[in-house]
Amino acid sequence: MKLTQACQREDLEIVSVDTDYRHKRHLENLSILKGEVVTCLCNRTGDVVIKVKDGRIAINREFAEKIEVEPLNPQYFHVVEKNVGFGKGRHKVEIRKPTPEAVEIFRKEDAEMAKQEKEAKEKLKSLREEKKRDLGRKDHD
Amino acid sequence: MIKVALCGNPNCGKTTLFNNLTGSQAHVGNWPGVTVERKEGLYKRKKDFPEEIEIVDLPGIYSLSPYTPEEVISRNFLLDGNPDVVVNVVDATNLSRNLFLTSQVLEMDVPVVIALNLMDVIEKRGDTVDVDALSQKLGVPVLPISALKGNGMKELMKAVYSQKGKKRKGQLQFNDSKLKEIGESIAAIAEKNEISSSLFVASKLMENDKIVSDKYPDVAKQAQQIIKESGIANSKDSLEERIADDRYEFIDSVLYPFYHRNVLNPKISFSDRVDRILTNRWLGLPIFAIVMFLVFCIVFNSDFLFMGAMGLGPVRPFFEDPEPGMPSLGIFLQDFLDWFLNGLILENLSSAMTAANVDPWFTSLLCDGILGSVFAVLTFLPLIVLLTLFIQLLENSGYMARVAFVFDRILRRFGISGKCVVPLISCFGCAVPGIMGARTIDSQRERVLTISLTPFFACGAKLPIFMGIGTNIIQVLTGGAIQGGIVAFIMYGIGILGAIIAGFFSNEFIIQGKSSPFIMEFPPYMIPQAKATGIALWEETKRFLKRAGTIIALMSALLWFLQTFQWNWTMVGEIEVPGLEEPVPDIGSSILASIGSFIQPLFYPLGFAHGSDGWKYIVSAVTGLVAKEQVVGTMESLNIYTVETAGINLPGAFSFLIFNLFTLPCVAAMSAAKAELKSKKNFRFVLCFWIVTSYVLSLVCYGLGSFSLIGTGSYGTLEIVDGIIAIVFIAGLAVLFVVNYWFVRKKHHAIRLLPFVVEDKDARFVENAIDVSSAGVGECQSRKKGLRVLFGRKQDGCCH
Repeated sequence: MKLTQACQREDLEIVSVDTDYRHKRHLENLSILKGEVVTCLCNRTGDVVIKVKDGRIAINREFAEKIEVEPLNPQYFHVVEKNVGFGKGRHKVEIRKPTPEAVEIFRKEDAEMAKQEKEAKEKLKSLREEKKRDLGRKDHD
Repeated sequence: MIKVALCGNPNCGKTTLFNNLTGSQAHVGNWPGVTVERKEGLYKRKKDFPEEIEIVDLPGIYSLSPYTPEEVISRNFLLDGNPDVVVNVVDATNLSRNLFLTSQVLEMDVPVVIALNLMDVIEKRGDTVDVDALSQKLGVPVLPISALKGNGMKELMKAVYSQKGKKRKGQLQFNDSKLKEIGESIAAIAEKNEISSSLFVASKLMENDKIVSDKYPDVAKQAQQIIKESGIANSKDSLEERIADDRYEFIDSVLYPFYHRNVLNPKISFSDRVDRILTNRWLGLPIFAIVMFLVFCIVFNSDFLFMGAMGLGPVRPFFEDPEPGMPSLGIFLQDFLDWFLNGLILENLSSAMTAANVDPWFTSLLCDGILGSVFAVLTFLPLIVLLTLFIQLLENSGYMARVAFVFDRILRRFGISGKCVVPLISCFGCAVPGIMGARTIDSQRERVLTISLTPFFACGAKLPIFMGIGTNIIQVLTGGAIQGGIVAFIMYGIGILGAIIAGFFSNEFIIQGKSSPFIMEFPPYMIPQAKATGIALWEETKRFLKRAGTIIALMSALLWFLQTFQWNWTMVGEIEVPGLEEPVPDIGSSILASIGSFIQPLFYPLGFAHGSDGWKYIVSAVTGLVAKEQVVGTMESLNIYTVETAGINLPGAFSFLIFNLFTLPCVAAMSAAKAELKSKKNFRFVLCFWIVTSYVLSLVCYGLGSFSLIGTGSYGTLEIVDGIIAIVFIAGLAVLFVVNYWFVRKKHHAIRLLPFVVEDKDARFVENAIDVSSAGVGECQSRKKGLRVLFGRKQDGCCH
């Protein structure tokens, strides 16, 4: 599927980048190349922000369409039909969305993450304090 | 002297490190592409080493295959600038991507020191990097630093100095033995031809790099032969793809044992969560609008947050008849400065000089001529400093890149990519860095378009014009209904709207083409650094004061001379003006007046120039070419800065503002544009574009505005003609827009700029089509010289 169809927080593997030499090289420099695993952070009707390694890179829709990706967790997402537009122009479009189960899983993951984050922060804090105390003791000695 | 080059990915902290090492105050910001030029400085602790160390700051690059013009500067310096040591600044928070550049730098025959920047953030996260082991593995010194906090600077410089004069042989950073073999055999050929950095040249030739293969055509031919014989090019992926993949594999294999991530590091970070809101589909734009509105409110609204209009807020304390509401910070400071400079210094000085029997002409030159105009300009200092402060905060927090992303979708309809937004927003401060910042845009067409739109994003120096005329003339003419701050706000809005219209216009009819793709790295959000912001503010203040003290004072003296003397070198007489108690000099008979009146008829249709005082406005606008602040200074010295003597009606005042907004920028900006555009043809086009836009738009403004004059005595032939032109213009624009959007665009764009594959004997490459006729048949100038390709529509299957 195309990168434009990616959902928020979806993990994807890049299958191919179909563009000219110059832009392809630029994407390679940004580590967007075949086989790379990226995470979609934001999708504004096709304009996407993806996380590649530790960098966040924004790509506009027309260009994102040229990047073919493979979802790593396809079971979490499904295609939903939605009516958009008004009056005569009203038509159906297919939108990829996380399944209700996936939403539940993500929520749990988030909660777990937040909890762990909090613990980690406290741990780091206590570690730092200990270090300070150790230093103080050494100075004292 | 040792020459040390700083290179690294964009936004990894090179300029911060440069400032820290040299004590300079180069502009830093939290978005990729702040530095677009090479900067040199000397290491500040000169006593540490027996030799002086020159440090060269380079624009950020993602790899040694350049993509945008500013990246070419870096590459050229690294290859041909003969640096003694290269310091590769690496963002430790994104190590594996940053080391991609390192893997290419290490192939060059030059001593390299790697500076792991942002180590404080890594420590805070709880991650660890085994620096010594990494250094051993890569074979070059690796030093942990924090450029922001200044940690590790001395150690870094010691390591750099120890590398001085050492001969380092480049190393191929490939994992795949086959690739390595080919690279080494090409390098051997390069070495035979006495090419330095042979391994680097070899790897670039394997990547099919155009610059290197053009430079060494013989080696390139032999390299092609070797690659063909090895049979490696026959596989499905292209060779450069395989090399990039291999480099990342190599980096991972190097990094894996030495970089330990804190297991509890969140996958979705704080920045990501903020991004979800700020780049939201629906909220993105309104949030930006609110942010900008707040900025404008704080800087120049005389009724802060419209509290007065709503009857809220504290009562204005210092006024005789207390009103609700309060002035914004900028206005408050401006009033204070006005009272101090004009009320206190100028009046006392002039009365003291009169009392001391100084020659009246000297008093007039000093007080009316020079100080009057300089002070009129100086009172705007607080507004400009505050505006700079907010632009700095926007830039340094990292929000700017997000704004570009949010705007990309809208601007794309007008042929502009979101990348242009970043330089254009910095134009609100000053147009010169904005024009230079256009280098970060990779398509030539969009660079020209961006530079031609820069004056429309009114720079800080235009603020005095809007505020001055807004407060002194428009606010009084409308009886307080439109306040000065609102006028400024409207003008900024008109500027942006005008930019969109002009962009659409030139995109459709003059510089046609499609906007380039938007690929931009988002910087992490940061709390703006007080030091960097302070430096930027101080630089802005210094620049403003310097301008006021030199060029504006000089121009004012010159103007005073021209307006005080007649052609027969006698001083002008004095006349009585109704509404003023004292007689004023009859500047209508001066040299300046006769020059101004000579070009006056040219500006008649614009509405502000047809009165008896019309020439004064023309002189003001023309002197604005020197520096835009001068417009207000000239108006003050020509005595049209107050409503009683302005001799202008409301539409005329607005038309004057619009003319100043869109017309030629100051000389500094024009020369920057000339330097950046490089070709004379483009520069001439941009100059004409500015003149025509300003003339047409201010005429339209007067035409529309003059409808409000119907019924009054001042509605004459000129207004009727202007009105008709304005209506025709707007109707024409609407028709063009509709026609273009519905008929031409849909048909044309479908076939314009289709990428297609060109195949010839040597290589296979993709080209973008240009110049397509409506039948879908056209030709393109290929990147390979002299090769013109004919092609048909894709659906007909006749792309060649």
